[in-house]
Amino acid sequence: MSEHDHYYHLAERYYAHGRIDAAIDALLRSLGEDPDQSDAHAFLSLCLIKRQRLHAAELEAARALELEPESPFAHLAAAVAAIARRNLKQAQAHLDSARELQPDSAAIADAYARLYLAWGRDAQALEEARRACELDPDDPDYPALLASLELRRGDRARAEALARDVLRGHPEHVEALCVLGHCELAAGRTDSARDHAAWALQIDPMDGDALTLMAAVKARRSWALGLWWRFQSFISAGSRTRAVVLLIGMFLIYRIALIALPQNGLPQWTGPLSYAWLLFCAYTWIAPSLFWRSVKKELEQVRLRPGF
Amino acid sequence: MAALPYRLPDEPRPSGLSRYAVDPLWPLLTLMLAGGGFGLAWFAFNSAALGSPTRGREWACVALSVFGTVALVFTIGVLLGSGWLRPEHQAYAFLSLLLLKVGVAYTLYLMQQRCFEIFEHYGGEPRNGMPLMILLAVVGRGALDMTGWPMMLRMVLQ
Repeated sequence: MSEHDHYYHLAERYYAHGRIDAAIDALLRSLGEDPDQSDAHAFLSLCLIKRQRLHAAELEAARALELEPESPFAHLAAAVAAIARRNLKQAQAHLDSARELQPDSAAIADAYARLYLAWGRDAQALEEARRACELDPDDPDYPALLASLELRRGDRARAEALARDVLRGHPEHVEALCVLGHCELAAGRTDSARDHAAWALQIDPMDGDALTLMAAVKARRSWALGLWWRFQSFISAGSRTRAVVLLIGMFLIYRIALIALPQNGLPQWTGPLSYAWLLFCAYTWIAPSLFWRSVKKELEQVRLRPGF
Repeated sequence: MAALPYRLPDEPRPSGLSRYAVDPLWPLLTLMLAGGGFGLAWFAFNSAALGSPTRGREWACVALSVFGTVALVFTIGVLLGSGWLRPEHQAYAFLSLLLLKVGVAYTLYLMQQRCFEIFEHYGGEPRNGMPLMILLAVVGRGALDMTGWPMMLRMVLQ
């Protein structure tokens, strides 16, 4: 086995255990040995997406396609990167090409499911997730996605059963842990939901789903932080451009109101408006650090119950 | 001999200026509290200090803010002079300057934030930007307000 293959297989093992940084490191070494391996670039792209390094992920997927334009894996990586960037049409084009090249791939069906999920086409997402499970019944990622889709459409019992099935074979599966945590939270069992979030975060402290679950638990316990979390989720749902436009839009409305109120004979309202804006700024400034400090404290204190 | 690890395209490129890199939050706050001139200059410098892979785009954003402000002030002046813009709407028109400056500042912040996280991830130690931010907000802003700059330059720097 060449050095390149050795590092590539090492990266696969790390990735399977959720050790994304170690997988990236192994892939960088693999590409250091041979920088013209399309699969390694595509795999690296998938790892980078997990770490939210979307710019680099896109470039790596493009490099993979450049080296091997007919590689379904490279198209898949490009599609996943495009979904993360919310370039959904582009993602669909890559997935169509990938499916043409490899019609019976469970990974491609899974990516279609995630694309439809991002598009809000839940029925099609569910259909593709079921197809992925049928094509590869042994991979735990596909039933975990199916579980999260079942939960999304309100079938909590089915979601819980699927997540428990995954966890029976793979107790460290972060997505399944998060689905189960959300089920527990929906059932009002906040402590159990917190245990699931803590366990998932101990496996992968940077996982977006696990952080969302922990945040949802914290939000349930404190209305003030919950309010901030909802505001933050609303602002950050979507692209960075959308977040900037929303924030500047709010600021602009405030400034327009400051000019318009005295012009329309209501100068007495400018003072309260300014104080309200100041309070809002202070709240959005202080709440995130309080929130994350409280999450960190929670993680330090966490001791999983023996029966967990 | 072992091969060198492959370098990722979004990794910061270390330079002699790395020891002056700060969290981009400080240039953002400086821009808000001490004016566009200081904030933009700091953003441009921090981009080089972080070794940001998008520094070309970041410097283009700085240029857009400076020249865009000049263009907007000029356009508003022409519109007022020609009577197309009524004096009571002048305050609304000047909000476009604020919009441009804040928009560019947020864009720069978000671009540098990603790079800054990776810089820290690879062991980079940022400086505390707070003392300089306070100095610029108090002394710099005061000096700027007292100096008799031409109107156009004041619009860019404030």
